[in-house]
Amino acid sequence: MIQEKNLDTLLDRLESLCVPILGHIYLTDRCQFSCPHCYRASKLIGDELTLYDWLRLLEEFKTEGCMDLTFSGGEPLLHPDWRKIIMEANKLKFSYEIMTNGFAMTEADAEFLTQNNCRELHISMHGWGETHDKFVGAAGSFTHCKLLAEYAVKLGLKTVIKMSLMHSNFHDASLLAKWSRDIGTIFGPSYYIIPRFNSNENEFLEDRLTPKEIRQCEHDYSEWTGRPSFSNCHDENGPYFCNMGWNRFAIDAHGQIYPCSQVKEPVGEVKTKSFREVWRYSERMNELRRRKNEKIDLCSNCEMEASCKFRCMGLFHLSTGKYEEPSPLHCEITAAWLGLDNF
Amino acid sequence: MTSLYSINPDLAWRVIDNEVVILKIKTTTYYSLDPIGTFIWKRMEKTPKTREEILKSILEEFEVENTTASNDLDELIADLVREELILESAA
Repeated sequence: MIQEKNLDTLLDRLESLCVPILGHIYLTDRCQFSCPHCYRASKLIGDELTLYDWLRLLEEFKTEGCMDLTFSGGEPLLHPDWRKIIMEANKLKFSYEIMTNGFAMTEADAEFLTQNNCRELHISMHGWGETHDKFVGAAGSFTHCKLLAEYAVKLGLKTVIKMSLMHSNFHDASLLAKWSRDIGTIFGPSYYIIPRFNSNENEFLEDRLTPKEIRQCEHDYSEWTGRPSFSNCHDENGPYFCNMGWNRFAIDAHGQIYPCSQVKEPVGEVKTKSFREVWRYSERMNELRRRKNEKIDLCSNCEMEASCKFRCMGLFHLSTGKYEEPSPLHCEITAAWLGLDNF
Repeated sequence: MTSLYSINPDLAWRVIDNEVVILKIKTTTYYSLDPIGTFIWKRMEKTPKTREEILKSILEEFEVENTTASNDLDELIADLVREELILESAA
């Protein structure tokens, strides 16, 4: 009568039923920082969903079978009603995690999240000391985040330190990894930097890791994190169109619905429609669903295909504006793994 | 002593396609219950229930012998308590 299942098995089953088990909520566009690499960088402030919109939507997400939410932004803690929204999510028995830059978060907030069954707290830290402060453009941010993370761990809150690896902060990765391990958090560095296909503000790409640094990261990653590195992670996708919109969705602060958290092309909105209407009957959503397992010709002819881990159509779309076209930057990373530095 | 059984409040769960899917948040372990287990689970949704109350509702809903239902229920309750999916307290 009772069966224990791993997450992948469960997701496969719910995918076949088209249940939106995973939801990503971009609660607000507001953020105190202007990190150069942030792919959510937006000038669209205002006209955001109200508390009452969110309370209605949480109920609708639950009715459609959603169980797990990620709250991010912008900076989610800058939403004036974030505590009320979290309390409702907890009351409706959602599992949830929060991705924050930590700067606006207090010890009382960490206590609040612990009391409200937060599954994971993700804090972005992009270097040690001044490196981090310079990266996010806020003096004192590193010290605040460090103390906050240490306090969260003391409370028993599962805490993840997220670091975007760039050439200018790479030297601090081992320091953050050691501190993270010492206090009992999970360290989650990433060098997947996403170019903005619809913007000229891509100077930050010049600060991306060099092929040599990528290989160094691959070498050190398991020691830093206790997990397999990017090039060694298991990936059964592609080169076929992915399962976006089958068991997951994203919603932004303005009520636009997306088939996953990476895609920036909305498939409907929930200011005038119900979530059920968009999830089940959006023409665009269903078009994307029908593309599942469609062959991606550009990648299937690539000599690096067997080693490539960048088979996320959302990532393709975010970088190039096309679901079928990867960013050359991601091809460059695979080339670095293979030692093809002149790719 | 009679026991009361209630759903552990530290869980996320949903009824999907006539089956309960349960997520233990702290360990991110997932469970699912078959339709009979789901029926039993939903009996405990609003208020804690005794074994006898649950057994009575099973016998009212399904064509099953008392002994079979009783044994299956005991087995499920033991599993749910062991996995900390339901909590046992004194009635």
